[in-house]
Amino acid sequence: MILLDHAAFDEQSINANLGAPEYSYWFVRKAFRPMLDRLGTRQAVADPYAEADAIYRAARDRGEPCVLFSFNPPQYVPLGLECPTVPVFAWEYDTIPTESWEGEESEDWRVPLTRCGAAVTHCQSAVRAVRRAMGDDYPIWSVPAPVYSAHRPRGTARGWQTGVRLPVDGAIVIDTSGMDLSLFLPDTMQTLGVRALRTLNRAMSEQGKRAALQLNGVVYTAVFNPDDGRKNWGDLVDGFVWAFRDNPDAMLILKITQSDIFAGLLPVLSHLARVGRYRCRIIVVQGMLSQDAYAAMAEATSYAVNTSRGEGQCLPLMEFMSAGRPAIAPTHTAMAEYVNPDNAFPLPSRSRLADWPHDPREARRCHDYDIEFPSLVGAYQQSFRIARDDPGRYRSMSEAASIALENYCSDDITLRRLADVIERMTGHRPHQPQPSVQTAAALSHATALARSLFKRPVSLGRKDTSQ
Amino acid sequence: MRRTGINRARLPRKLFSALRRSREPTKTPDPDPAEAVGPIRSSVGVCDGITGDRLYGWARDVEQPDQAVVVEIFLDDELVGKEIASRSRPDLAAAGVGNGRYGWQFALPLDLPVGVPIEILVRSDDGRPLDAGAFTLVLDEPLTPSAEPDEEVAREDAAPISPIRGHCDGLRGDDLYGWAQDTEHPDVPVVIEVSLNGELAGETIASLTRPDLRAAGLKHGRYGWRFALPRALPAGVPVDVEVRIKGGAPLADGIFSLDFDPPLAPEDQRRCDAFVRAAQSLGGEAAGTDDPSPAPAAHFILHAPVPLQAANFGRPEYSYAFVRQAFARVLAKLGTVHDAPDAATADRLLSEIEARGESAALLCFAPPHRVLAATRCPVVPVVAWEFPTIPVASSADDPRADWRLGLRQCGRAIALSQFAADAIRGAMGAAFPVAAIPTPSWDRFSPLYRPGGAPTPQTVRIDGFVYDSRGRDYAAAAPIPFPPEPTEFGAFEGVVALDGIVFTSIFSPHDNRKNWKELLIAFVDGLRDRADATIVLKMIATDPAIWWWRVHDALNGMAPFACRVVVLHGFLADADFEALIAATHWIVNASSAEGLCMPLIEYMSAGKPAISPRHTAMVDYVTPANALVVDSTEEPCGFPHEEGGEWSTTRHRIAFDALAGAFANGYRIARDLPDDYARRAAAAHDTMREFCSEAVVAAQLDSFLGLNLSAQNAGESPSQLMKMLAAS
Repeated sequence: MILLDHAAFDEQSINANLGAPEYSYWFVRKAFRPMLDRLGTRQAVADPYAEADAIYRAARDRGEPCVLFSFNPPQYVPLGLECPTVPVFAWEYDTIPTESWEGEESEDWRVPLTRCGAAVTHCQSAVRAVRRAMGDDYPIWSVPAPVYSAHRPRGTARGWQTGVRLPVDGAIVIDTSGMDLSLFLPDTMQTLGVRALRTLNRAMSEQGKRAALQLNGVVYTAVFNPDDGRKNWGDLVDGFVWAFRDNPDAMLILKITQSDIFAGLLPVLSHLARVGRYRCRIIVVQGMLSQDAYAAMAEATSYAVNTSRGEGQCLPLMEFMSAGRPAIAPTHTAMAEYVNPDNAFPLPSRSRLADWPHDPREARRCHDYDIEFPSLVGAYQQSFRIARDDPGRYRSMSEAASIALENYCSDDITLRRLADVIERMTGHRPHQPQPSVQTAAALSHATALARSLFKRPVSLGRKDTSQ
Repeated sequence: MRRTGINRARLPRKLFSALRRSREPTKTPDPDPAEAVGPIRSSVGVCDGITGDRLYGWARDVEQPDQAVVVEIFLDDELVGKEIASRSRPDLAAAGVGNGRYGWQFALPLDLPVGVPIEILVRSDDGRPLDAGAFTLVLDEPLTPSAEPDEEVAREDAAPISPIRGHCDGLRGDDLYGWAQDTEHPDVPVVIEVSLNGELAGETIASLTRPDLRAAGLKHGRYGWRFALPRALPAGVPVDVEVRIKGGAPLADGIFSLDFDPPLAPEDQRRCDAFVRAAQSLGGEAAGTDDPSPAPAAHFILHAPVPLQAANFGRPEYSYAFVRQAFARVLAKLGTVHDAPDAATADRLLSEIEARGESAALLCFAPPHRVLAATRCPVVPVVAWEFPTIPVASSADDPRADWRLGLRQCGRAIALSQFAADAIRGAMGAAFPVAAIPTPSWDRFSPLYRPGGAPTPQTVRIDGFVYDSRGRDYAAAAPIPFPPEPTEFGAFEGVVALDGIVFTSIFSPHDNRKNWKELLIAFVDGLRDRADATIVLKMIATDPAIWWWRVHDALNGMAPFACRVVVLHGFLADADFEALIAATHWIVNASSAEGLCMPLIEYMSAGKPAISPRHTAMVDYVTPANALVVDSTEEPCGFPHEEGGEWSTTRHRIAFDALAGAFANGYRIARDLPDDYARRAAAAHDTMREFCSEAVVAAQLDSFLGLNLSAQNAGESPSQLMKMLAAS
């Protein structure tokens, strides 16, 4: 069983391209790779048109099945190969593009999806959107990126941090509290602000970007690319300041996934410069963290925060919740499958007319969601009280978060569904590995205990209804 | 000059993903600050011309005047350069255009061919062409480099303020009228002042539509003015009148002696009196005048500061003039009404009134920091305000920016809504005497209510033009035609026949609080396939460019659709305003905050149910019985007068799905459920009688000005978010 994988970004370019439009496809591909390794012989292809068919024909001649997983939005999936090709893509709207523009036939996703004959996405709302256009019998599977096992809890989560030291080497870290951000007001942002960031970057590069944060109180973390308007991060920041302006025990870490320091930091600092003085702590972290540093950040976090207009799955939220961090997040799109009142402070949201984000015509053909600001403020305030005053409730939310994510994106679920996909494409079911030692360990003492604590299963065993 | 449309689809393909959705700088590997200026939403600007090899002009973002606009220069459809409009232009500063640093210039390639037409297009990077920014250039000789382009351009443009021309046409009824135009800045209305017997009597703005002026070639013709003479002018005594430009020279024919109501021959006088008496006895409402009561001893001196900077034209302050007008009608029932353009006049009036042993109050229709200060009169500010907090920050040079100062000096205030009254109490304490009294609108509009009758098809004429989606083609990324020049309005048929289910919304497109683009999109979303559904947007604006591009953007993005969009741009005469009401089923509002919303209360007084959120002022009169209430939630914002300010207050976010749903629901009710519709119409009419009829408002004014005040609210903030802030 040969499993080819391809994405527009590769290992070498991701650091430079962090925050570029398709960067998240690289992360998804990275998360799927160990699963493909366990289902067959995985082989990366850099140029599918040049490589895939040769590998496919050689395999066919040996009698060995071969499939190409293309981690790309459908319009960029290679078409016309002999090798069976499965697009793997994220989608957060209620309709898929069913029109083409600028003469690009593939912009109408029905074209690539029909020619590929099957597809993989990461949530049920995307499955519904595809079936709305392709028919109820179109073979598409919801296979979330299997992030649970790599991020599952390392210990008991704490809602209230006291003197936690968090190393953030390799990143630019700006503790904005008490800082004069007036450089970043609109009239000087592009002159003084750019100059200051350039100087800061140079200085921090020289000293090797070694930094550590001292965390106290309740720590909220949001991971996002400020260039991505869908993240609605302005509300996220404003709600925090509104809830905690004079509370130094409330801390918000804004982890920026955008490699360009200007694109990453200017909009955020400029926004913070305009919210007025605050005594709560807001810390901006820009740069690629090591896996250990990222895991430590999740460990030091009390709550993960998301205020998006729509998510195809939301890897950072899945990672933090897998690690047992309860969330503040809306329950629309992909979040509907793993955010609930047991593990989060769900934010009500309203649907709005929107356009497909890559449609240059800006035709309004789909919907996204707008959260309600007072609910966000209320969620911040309530979550703070629980973290500070009710450790028992916090712990049960933490455990519920981890369980919900195990049920959403464990290795087992991914393996089983990918096996379904491969069987459909090749006629051969790959050897299904037994639950690995790691996966079995995931049903650890804490998890088992947590399950027994709940009278009813907490979103247990969402049936695999995608196929 | 040839006109050309812009084809958006020809622009460079945008990157995949949501990069473009960000209002923040676009990503560049090593951003040059010059390149990193983000997209601008609302630029205005001009391409002034060519000097030497320099194409030059100016551009400004009206919503974010501190952010430089980037202009893009296209030659024959090819983008050849971008310039930042941030050069100093003293002439702009002198004309009151912000700080004047909005100039740009672009060095044209010196090798441009001679004698060959070259299509030039200059636009701001939000896609909007500058005025005179699209033309065909044919060179007679090769371009020569400009020696000192900067100074040269600046000097050439730094023209002195040009003379204003105008005329006083005469007297019509009690009104003086005429026209005036600033030939150098023809879009900036001229302020006219009138003095009687050497004393300043008042001011007016020359901005009324005058088709005869347009026909005579005076651009759009909106240069007319009218000035109401005081009723109290003594009959039979000549008055010396001088009509002049404010602070400047008299208008032509502007100095004369007016013999107001010269004495009649005794017989003529007798016949005249007899007619008046007979006419009065016929009208049942005037029966009371048969039994004349003694002249009221109360006096009301009214003052509404006309914002003198013409740059403020169309700004919210102007609506205070309408509020003043409506209150004057009611106050006349309670006492004698006087006008005071300034403190000196107010004090003189007060002295005269006091000399007769009577009393007076000065009502200032203005926010507390703009009320007349140096006066002996007791001052009552009448305040329109749409936020749950009031400005309390001040600076050394402007201590009155803290509204509490002015409010404390006045000692009491009238707000147009309970919401605003609560905001004032929140800052001044629960005991501060503030009454919520709306503008009396019911009596004027209630006669248009037809109990049980459905709205009927109407023809509406407008002095301006009608934009109608019928007969126009829309498609995603379709080229957007140019808006008509104001001078071309005459070429448009200013007539529209309205039928079917009609939704009407009236607003200034300059006012960002109105959410009008969302309102339009929600209408199309809710009623896309209904060819008999119409939305009428009555735009209060002088230049259609302010809404043209946004309307097209919205409709192109929504195509295809069958429902109808009508924009009325221009001035509606009373009969046509009433025809529009008669054709309307629902009056629509989607604002983020309102101090009162006069169109809403006027239409509701006429028995038109509303589609509206229920927040800020609307809490006082929008109910589920008289409106389809649209869900909204609070969010923080700054005060409108603060530039890039911190959040001092809150406004409301409209739930889009609820708004679209309300349109669909409103359509269904109006078309299929006539009884339900009639009940809502009656409820609207009845609510307004209790809310803003002259009788109700007069009683409230009487009670409040006599200080028989009952506090309605214990000073609790009307804002949920503000309470959450206090709790945290």
